[in-house]
Amino acid sequence: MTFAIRTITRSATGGDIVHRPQLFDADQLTIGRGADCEVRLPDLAVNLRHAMLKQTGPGTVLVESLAAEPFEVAGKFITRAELKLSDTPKLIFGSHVLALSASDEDDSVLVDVTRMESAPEAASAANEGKIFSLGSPIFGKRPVAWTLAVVALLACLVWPIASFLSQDRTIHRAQTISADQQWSTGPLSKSHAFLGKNCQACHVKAFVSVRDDTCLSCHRSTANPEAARTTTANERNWDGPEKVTLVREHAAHDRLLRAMPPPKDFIGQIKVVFQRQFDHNSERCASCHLEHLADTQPKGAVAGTPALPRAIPVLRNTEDCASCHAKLRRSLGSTALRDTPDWTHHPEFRPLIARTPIGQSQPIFDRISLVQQPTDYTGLIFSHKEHLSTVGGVARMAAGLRFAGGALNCADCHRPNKGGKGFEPVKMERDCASCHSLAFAPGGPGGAPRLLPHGHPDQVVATLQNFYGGGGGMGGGGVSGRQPPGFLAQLGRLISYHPESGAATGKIRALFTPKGLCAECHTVVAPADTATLDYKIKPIHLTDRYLPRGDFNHDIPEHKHDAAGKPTCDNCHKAVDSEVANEVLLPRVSECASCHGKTKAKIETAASGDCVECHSFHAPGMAPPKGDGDKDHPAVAMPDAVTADKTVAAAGLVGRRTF
Amino acid sequence: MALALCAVSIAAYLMIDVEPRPRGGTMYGYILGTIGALLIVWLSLFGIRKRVITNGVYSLKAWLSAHVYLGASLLVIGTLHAGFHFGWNVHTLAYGLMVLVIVSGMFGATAYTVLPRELSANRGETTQKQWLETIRSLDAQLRDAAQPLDRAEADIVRLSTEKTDIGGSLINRLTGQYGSCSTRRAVEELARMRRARPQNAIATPSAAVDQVDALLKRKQETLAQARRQIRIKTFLEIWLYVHVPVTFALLAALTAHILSVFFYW
Repeated sequence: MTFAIRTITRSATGGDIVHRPQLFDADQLTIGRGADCEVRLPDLAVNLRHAMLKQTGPGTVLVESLAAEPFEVAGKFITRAELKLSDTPKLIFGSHVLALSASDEDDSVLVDVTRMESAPEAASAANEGKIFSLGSPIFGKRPVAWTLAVVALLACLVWPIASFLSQDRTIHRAQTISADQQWSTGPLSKSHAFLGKNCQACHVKAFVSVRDDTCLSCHRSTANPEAARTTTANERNWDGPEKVTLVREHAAHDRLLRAMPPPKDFIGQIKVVFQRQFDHNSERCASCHLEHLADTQPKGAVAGTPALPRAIPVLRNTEDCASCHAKLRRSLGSTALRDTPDWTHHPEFRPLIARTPIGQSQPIFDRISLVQQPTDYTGLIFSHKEHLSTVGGVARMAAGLRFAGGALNCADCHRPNKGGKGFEPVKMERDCASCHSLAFAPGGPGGAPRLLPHGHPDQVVATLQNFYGGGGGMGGGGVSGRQPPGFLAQLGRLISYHPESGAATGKIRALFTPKGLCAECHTVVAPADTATLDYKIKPIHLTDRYLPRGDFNHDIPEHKHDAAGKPTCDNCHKAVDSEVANEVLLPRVSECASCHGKTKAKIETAASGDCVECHSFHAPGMAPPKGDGDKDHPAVAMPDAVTADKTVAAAGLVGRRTF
Repeated sequence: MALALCAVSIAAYLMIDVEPRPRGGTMYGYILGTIGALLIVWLSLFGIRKRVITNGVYSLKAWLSAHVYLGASLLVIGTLHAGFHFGWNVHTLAYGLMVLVIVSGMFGATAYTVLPRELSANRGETTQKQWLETIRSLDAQLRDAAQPLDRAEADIVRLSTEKTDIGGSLINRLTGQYGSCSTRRAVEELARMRRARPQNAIATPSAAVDQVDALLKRKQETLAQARRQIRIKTFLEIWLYVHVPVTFALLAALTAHILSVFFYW
């Protein structure tokens, strides 16, 4: 039995070098790493004595492990194999391959030993870069960089823009997630929070700053009911709160722009250039009313500042009043307003006065400075001086009526309105009739005297004709010393003056004569045809508000009474010296300046001289709400046109009442 | 220059009183934002600039110095631009990425001032190639020396020669801890085996085992030294793996930040 072992090694050029075979004339061979093995494999993966190779017959061999360590044949790890040499089987031990075959020349067994190419060593020089520099254990910089950049662009730019382009903006959307919310720089104020997921409610067009029209679609104050309905519908469409602050523009937009002087300083001018260039002008609603800042307290916030988030947007004034109003006439020649650079240069008050004679159906109003001591057409015959005098008939009558005594004072006729800011209109029946009685006969309902109807001369005539013509109470106008002074007593007197006029006609004529009851306060227009009883009374115009562009609160303690608690009416209104009702009893602006604009060091009741004490931007006739600014603005606005003062529309503005 | 930029920024920030609070959407905010954005773009161009080496005032060295200082000043400018106000939005994302880039850059700058000294101290006169050669030759010697060893002992040697990962994972590289290093395990296994079996019971000559043991320990020493080198080099390089990719993300987020502001103007 012969085994021929040929070792084949690979040359540097890649060819095989077949070494001369070693011949072993033995029954069996030992395969292993050990020096005593016939087939010696210098491989640490091979046992010292790994297996035995034995020829079992012609063309067949047996391979058997000497220990339990297996070897590989045809892809299987086994410990024993009977193999046919005709199959040229291959045994694999570690990195060595033993190819068995039968010799062509004799019956010996050929064993070709080759060493397989092993994987390159870890410490090979080719791996130097990999081993000593970072790179293999983590991702490459470049792919990560591009991935991150693309992800950021997609998530933060492409997605929001895509959602902006794809959204239907005409209807309210109850979305859960909006891609563009990540662009929000901060939370919205509570009043606008309902728009939070709907960026496009305000940001209507891409790259176009928020426009006033957008704000006004919900906030427009308008007298036009159709437009008001649209406003409400808009607001509801966005699911907004029901109560919305309605505002009008301070002035027409083009006038506002013209009135704004260009900034004087260089930085300000640069700012304007940029604002124009970037379409971010400073006269927009959003220039002053800043949103997305609801989580910020104002600087130097003190205790008592409203809790965050803010209720309404932050207010930042881009201009102060004086920046436009100091030289308004120069920029807006047509304005009716006087230039007011500051409080110390505030023009004298110019009450709104009716310039047209009484009775004209379309009165013309004008603003006349108090310097000119204007007189108003009230149509009333009334002396404040007489009524407020502490001596004389009025005082005595007042003392008599009120038992405890004392002359009349302002509050007897001028009663504070609801809220106390102003006064209820003076009403004849309530404020005058307790002295100027309209009673003409006893026998009224509930035992009260019968009263003449006030304000309707024709009804007065009819009432008296009815009463006396019907014979009722004929001569019953009995004068009783205990009756309250007034018409009843006077009527008796009148009747006695005209003993022949037993009929109603005489009584009626007596009533309207210059000495009669009506003519005490009114100008009587006698009938053209003296045969008729068609008496008329000249109309009465009473003004509730002479200064429609400024606010004044009578309810402020310092305005109401002095330190001793005494009413301060006559400090400002010189009624005690006023003998005719046509006098305008307004204080001069210097009266206000005696406290406003002073310091506490100078005067106890000193107060601020700021414009906003009396004027607000959106409603110049109203002072801004006091306090933190989070209260609702009143839905009051100024007239559309600045020159409106001279028009009839101004009558409504001042609350002028005609009787 | 960078210090002056910071000083001017801070001074202006303190001087300008913005209602209701400082933020990007004011004139000063826009100025800072523009400076910041231009700086970011310029700083990122360093990646292109560094591939071209020139001399003189605008040399790469000068450029790098400006990159480091102006980059650091960007932290001041960016923070003032934000007005110390942050939220969960794309704007703060851009800020966060910027901070990440700057902080990683600061780490890198520090590493490059400190570590090269350590690197050469550890290296001595040896080169990286020499370390690898040493390891290769030790492996060859181990294989030869282990020939007489029986199977179990040979497997221990194979563990070292075949399974040793010199660099190891990122954590290995950063910590310098190679707890499961195969060579170390081989040394421990061999020692245990020798303890467990009485000397005379070992089939192989103890001289061979001693030699293998000595070789393994020498390999361990060489590995430790090479790995110290790797650790230092890792610290020199790792920050760039944050600095560069995050810069790209920052440029994208910055674009989104600027565009979004003007988009919803």
